Amino acid sequence: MTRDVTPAASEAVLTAQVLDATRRGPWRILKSRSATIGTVLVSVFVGLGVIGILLLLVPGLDATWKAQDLGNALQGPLSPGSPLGTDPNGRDLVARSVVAIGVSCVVAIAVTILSLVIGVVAGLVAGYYRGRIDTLIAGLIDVTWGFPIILLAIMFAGMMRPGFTSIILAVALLSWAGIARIIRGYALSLREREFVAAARALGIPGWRIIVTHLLPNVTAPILVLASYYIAVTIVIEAGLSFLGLGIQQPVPSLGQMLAEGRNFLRLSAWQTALPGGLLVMAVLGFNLLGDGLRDLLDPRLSRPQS
Amino acid sequence: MTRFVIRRLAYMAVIMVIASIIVFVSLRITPGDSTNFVITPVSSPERFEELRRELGLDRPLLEQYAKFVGRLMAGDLGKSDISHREVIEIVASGLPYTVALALAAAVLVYGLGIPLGVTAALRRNRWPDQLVTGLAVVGLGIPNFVLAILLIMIFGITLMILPVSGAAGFQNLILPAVVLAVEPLAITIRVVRSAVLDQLGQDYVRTLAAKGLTRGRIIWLHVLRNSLGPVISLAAVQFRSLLGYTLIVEVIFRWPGLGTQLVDAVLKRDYVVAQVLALLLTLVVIVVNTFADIAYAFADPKVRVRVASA
Repeated sequence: MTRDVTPAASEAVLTAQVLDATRRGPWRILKSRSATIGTVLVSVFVGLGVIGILLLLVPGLDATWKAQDLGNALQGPLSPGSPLGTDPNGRDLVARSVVAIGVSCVVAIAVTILSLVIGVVAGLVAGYYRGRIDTLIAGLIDVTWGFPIILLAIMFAGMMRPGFTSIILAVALLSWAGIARIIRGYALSLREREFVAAARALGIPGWRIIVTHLLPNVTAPILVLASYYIAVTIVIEAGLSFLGLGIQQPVPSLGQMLAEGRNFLRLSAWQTALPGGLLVMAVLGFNLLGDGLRDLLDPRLSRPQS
Repeated sequence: MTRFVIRRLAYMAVIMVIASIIVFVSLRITPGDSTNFVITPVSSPERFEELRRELGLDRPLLEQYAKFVGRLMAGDLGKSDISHREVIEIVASGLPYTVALALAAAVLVYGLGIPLGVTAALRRNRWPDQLVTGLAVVGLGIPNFVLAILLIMIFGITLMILPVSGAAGFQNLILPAVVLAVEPLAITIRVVRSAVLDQLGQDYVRTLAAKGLTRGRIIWLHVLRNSLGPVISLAAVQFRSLLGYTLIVEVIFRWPGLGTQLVDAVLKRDYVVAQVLALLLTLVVIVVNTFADIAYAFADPKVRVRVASA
């Protein structure tokens, strides 16, 4: 980047760019090709997910994805009566895929909201107050951040009954740390700025400075991080369900459909191609959207690692 | 600098103790314990209580933890409650497989990632660049278990040229290593590409060219060496996610490493084995993180100052 200016000056330039980009409005994201593709993929995925959640929750509708017809099992796509075919138990794959997408959305959104709330609060408090509370939180971040998410999720699934709660808790319990790390960095640099010093001089209490002055300044990284973490969470949920440690039958999940289809690879590759393709679409969509948001809002952020 | 190293090591010790408590508690508070597998539904309640006493499962958690740590310190990793195998034996049998898999993946990641990244940077915005960066985007978008199934389908079922499970020989290593390598490879390519691009704009490149050095020497000797910093600092982060993914990839390909053993132990509620394996994997991650931090501080004085003042 700009190597011939001092760090402070390049920081100021970047911050100005960020503010500028935020002000020019959200539609600017459509200027970048990858972000446009990302937005389209994410919209399709989330739209299907909303229908899936309805099918999952509305009492009378569960027959669409639960009803078995063993005489009509393992049909390929475009077969009569079921446009996407049927699974090994003769259940309709359109309904099951849509519900599975809904499951992905529920888990991803719950995890992302939980870890964003914990991560942003911890990061802002640690970065703003410094001192002992910072040592404590930074230590906690280090312990959690070093822990492989999948390892903890497997332990949790063994501990409780595998399902929504164990996945959501296990992933949220670790992914807040990555968010807190980054937000703490922002808070550390923001607290030295004049407007924060001015607020402090006016006698505004710390918690109000955090809420009204720091929080609005970290919305850009929060948006970018949310997009990446949704992608990571979708993969982890699918991975756990694939191992049999996640969402349990009869509720479908993309990972579980993939594992089921694996037993029929020779008979019908379609059984794995469909959930696999949907997963790739979701991950690609959220990653591209995250990349687009990052380029637009804050080039300093990088993709998280699971 | 010495103070920084001592501090970082002390910190590592604290984190290790916390990690051991987390691993211990999380596996111990589970509903059901390993007696469920030894005792059948027709066993008498007295036999059940006796077994729990025998295994020490009726003692308070704190006492069990103290005993657990004491034994570990003495080098005694314990014995599986279920298979009665020594844990150290299980670790010894799984470790070579996990190390072999990780090494094979690392060879792929750096052996391919560095040349491809450099090539992409040198042919910026022309077809080699677009091809390589496009593949990197796809590599990041495919979850590794989806890729695993795809490769099983192509090489194991359609072409029938590679084995898809077990560990009979070198061929068994190919598919899991490729699956494990794809995501870090994609990230490495992107990092190398941007680091090389950053270096190519520096003044010293022009000076070396003016001095009459060939393009190849400038790039592979000077530019590449200066571009490796970000790759090395990324390696520590990648190590952590690689370790997590090893668990899934080993299970898919039935590769008898530590990951398969751990998932197995958790599913069977084989506490002793699960505890030791989870703790072992966690400790490895903590040690690697600590030494990466220290190495990084040696290499870059700016980090040293920042960490010391934090």
